[in-house]
Amino acid sequence: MKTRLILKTVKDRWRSITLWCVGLVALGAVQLSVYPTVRDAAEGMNQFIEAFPDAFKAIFRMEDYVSGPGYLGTELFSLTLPLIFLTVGSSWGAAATAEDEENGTADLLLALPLSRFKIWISKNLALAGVLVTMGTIIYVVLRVGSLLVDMSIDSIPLLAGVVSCMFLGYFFSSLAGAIGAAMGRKSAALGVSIAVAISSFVFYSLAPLVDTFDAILPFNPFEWAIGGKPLVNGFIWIDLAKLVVFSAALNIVAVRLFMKRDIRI
Amino acid sequence: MNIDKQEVAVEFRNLTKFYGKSLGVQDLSFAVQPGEVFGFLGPNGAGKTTAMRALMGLITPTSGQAFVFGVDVTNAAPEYRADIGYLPGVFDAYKNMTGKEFLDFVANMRGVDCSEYVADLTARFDLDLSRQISTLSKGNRQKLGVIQAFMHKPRVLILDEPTSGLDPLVQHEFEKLLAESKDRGAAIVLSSHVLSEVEHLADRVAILHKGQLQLVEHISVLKQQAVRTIEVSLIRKATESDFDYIPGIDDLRIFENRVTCNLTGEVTKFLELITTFGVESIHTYEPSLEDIFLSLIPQEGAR
Repeated sequence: MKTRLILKTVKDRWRSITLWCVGLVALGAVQLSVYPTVRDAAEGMNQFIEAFPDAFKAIFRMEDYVSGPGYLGTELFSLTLPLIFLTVGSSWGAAATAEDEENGTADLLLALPLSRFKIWISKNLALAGVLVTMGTIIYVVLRVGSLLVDMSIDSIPLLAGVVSCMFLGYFFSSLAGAIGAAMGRKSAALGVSIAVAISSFVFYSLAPLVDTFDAILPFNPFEWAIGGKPLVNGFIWIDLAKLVVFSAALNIVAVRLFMKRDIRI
Repeated sequence: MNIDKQEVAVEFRNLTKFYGKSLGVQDLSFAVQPGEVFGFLGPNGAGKTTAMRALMGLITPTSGQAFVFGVDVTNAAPEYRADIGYLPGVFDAYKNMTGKEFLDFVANMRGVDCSEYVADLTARFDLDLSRQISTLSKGNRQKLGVIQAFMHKPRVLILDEPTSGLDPLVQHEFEKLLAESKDRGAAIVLSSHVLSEVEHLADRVAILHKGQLQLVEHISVLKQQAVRTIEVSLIRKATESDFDYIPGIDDLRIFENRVTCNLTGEVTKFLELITTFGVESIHTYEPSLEDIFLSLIPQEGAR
């Protein structure tokens, strides 16, 4: 790993990282500020949700809306946060090596006395740092906010929820990174990765309704990340392990491809 | 010549590269010694860039090898590149950096501190390092590329069309820099499709066409083999038969006192002869590499 390259990678995306972080703070604050109203109207709210079609409730896994974990699970952790983390992950992964090739700077960077492996690791560490930073921010916002609005949610399940989103983001960055390393094209890597993410999400959402989707649920990254309800059940190590193992596998593929590839001009 | 003592800096051994079915370069072999400037010539698409990028480990040869100080670059540890300065054919730097940030970054990645020499080079090339690279002209970006290649005083310089985009004054400074590097023992490979610019820089040249090596030769030998045109005005008239015994003479024309001819190789005999007639003026036209080059490359549709 090369500290200077890690810092450069982060600095190149400084503006977008800042915007994402500000967005996360705002998102957390807005969601929590509405919570007291939801809780005070608990009875009516429960009746209201009871009246939702079963299919709808199943898709958003809405079993309980007014409890702390139920509210955050429905509002943030079932779609919005996973989407944010996987978007950031995919775009970073896609850019990791393909960006230099597309900008014409690969001939310079890869001609330095530095192995492609080190370059890969450095860029990966930069991304990991950003995902951890984003995770920390949303965790602190939700933790502090939940105390302020008197929401009952334990710190460990909240942490588990955030960590799951981070690993989901890392998984999709690894996927995009592998495609980018194989093809040297950012748009292709991002496109494929987002397409896989969206279809995974659709399969995951509709799994309670469609038998086929339910059958492939064990292979769905969304199931690994949020299927086990970390906000309620805390860390589900086996699911996190799946995300880690598959991310690692994708990274190994990516590095092997990247090490061997002819760099485009 | 003692082969054992003579270290080879750069060597290609039967290097072949195909991109799918299309040929990049085929069966390329030559070696460059320390302190030698090696001109790598050929039209665009001849395979010069392919060979250089294979040497830098950016592409993997289909077969054959490239060596830097005896290290086969395929699967070599990346440290072999520490002693190489490389200027890509299309030099792109990080546009969001200033020139200074960029050179700092490269030096840091190389693990060297060359700020003193960078300051010297920057002054010589009159480059403003405080400006963001995106705002630099093509010529100034190329200067930055030259500086990043030379700044760590590498023992090997791989320069792909280094003078493209440089104005004549800067080219002159570049030539001085090249001569200095040669003097301190660097092996230099530089490619060009403009032959005249290599003519007075290189010790030897290789000419490449459509991926095939046409020849490797000393510049002086090339010029000797070449035909030069000579035009003299004599004081007393000469006849054609006077020139019969001059070796390598061709296309002799005599009109009044003026004699023109083409001469291959040495000119001593010719000069001895004409001085007996008294010489008013003499013009010789040095063959450019262009002419040599054109005579070597099989012309399209020539047969």
